[in-house]
Amino acid sequence: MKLTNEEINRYSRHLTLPEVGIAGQLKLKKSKVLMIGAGGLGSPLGMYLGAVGVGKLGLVDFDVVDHTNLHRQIAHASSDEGRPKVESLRDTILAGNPNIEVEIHNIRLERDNVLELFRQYDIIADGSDNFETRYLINDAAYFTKKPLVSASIFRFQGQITIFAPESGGPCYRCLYSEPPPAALVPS
Amino acid sequence: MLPGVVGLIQATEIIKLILENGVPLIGRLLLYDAMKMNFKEVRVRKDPQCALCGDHPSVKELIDYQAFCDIHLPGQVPQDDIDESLYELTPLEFKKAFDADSSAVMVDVRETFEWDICRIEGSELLPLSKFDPATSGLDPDTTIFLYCYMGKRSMLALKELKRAGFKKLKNLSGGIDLWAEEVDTDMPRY
Amino acid sequence: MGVIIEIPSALKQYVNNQDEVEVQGNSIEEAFESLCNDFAELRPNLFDDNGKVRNFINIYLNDDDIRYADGISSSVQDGDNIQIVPSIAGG
Repeated sequence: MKLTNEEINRYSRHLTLPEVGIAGQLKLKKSKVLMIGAGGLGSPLGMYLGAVGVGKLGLVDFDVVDHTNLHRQIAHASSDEGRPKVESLRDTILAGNPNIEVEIHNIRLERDNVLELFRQYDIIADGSDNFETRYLINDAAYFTKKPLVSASIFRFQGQITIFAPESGGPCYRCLYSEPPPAALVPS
Repeated sequence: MLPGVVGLIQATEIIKLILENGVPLIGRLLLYDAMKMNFKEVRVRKDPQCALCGDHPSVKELIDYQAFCDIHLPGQVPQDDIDESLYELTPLEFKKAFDADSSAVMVDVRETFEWDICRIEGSELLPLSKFDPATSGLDPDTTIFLYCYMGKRSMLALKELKRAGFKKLKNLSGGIDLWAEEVDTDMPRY
Repeated sequence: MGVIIEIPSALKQYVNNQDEVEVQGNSIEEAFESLCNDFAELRPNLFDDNGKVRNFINIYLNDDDIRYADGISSSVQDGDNIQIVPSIAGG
């Protein structure tokens, strides 16, 4: 795999960083990241991962863009209202960097589709918005041996960590063995 | 703006993993508080008793996550014997039934900040976070009409009332959000 | 001087919307006993009926999980920082 002249020019400020260089940029180009959630976290995450040249991005979300999303889910424009979020986010990412591949999955992540999907990627990013999906993602990442970069938010607080039990680190269940009772989860 | 900050930290960690450079956030939980504007880090250890990756795992394949996450408040028992559909009313049915019963009471179980955005006229606020049938002041002999944002929290309150001996209970299916769509279209939605 | 317990957004409503509460005590248990005596509604959100810390709540004493010290028996000193961290799922 090589970088085209356009890519060398586009990523030139990366290529001159000793921590990245041509070798690092090629690692980015070869990598495949699956993002679950194309909302508040998924918007900036997808836009930046796309801009820096991650070769393949998978987007999973079954929701459509709602008027109340627009103030924080910055990949979606007013004109995207009613469109599937994965389509809207894909278009925003590709408008920024047409060199990369974006595969969209306009589906709800379930027990029977998660493992096959995870196997096609190197890294899983959790930006989902409910506990059921978070535990499903954790377990599936463990069974498919993929590192899970996890972020969650509530009101004015955020939590970020990496679950990598394969490398000797903890998993989501090590951190929180159970979700909170339904009544404490705002709906 | 909070998701922007958090999503970009997530992006940074992904890039570091790909580049195999830097110190990754493995075994560390980064806590961000926008109001205090501080970052804090706490240690996360591998739990030898973890049901998935511990020494004696009980989760050996994917499970039923809906059932796993169906946890109840302290002291609450699962109310699987209650048929929710018996209590659900559409917004129009809810309005009609409430208007026809002059002794009925309408209870909003959302939180105060939601009540401040919009509310149904004639309702009183009893947030679910502090909801207790015994101290609610509600009369078990009157019909109680319950609502929340989407209809889920009010159903939890309904089940608590049911357990406490209330018999005449109604739930607004779809919550105030659907009410704003089907009954009061001037009401702001959030 | 006492021990500072930091309260997460999700539980602030139970402590008059304070970010942190200063309490007295020689152990985590005593510190939380003092906190929950002042704010009774907080207790069931943190502990189960047997007094065990609930599974979706972690308590950190000076940035390490008390599960890996002596649990709620872990001793605390003036100036220590206790952080309550609940599981959150927003995206």
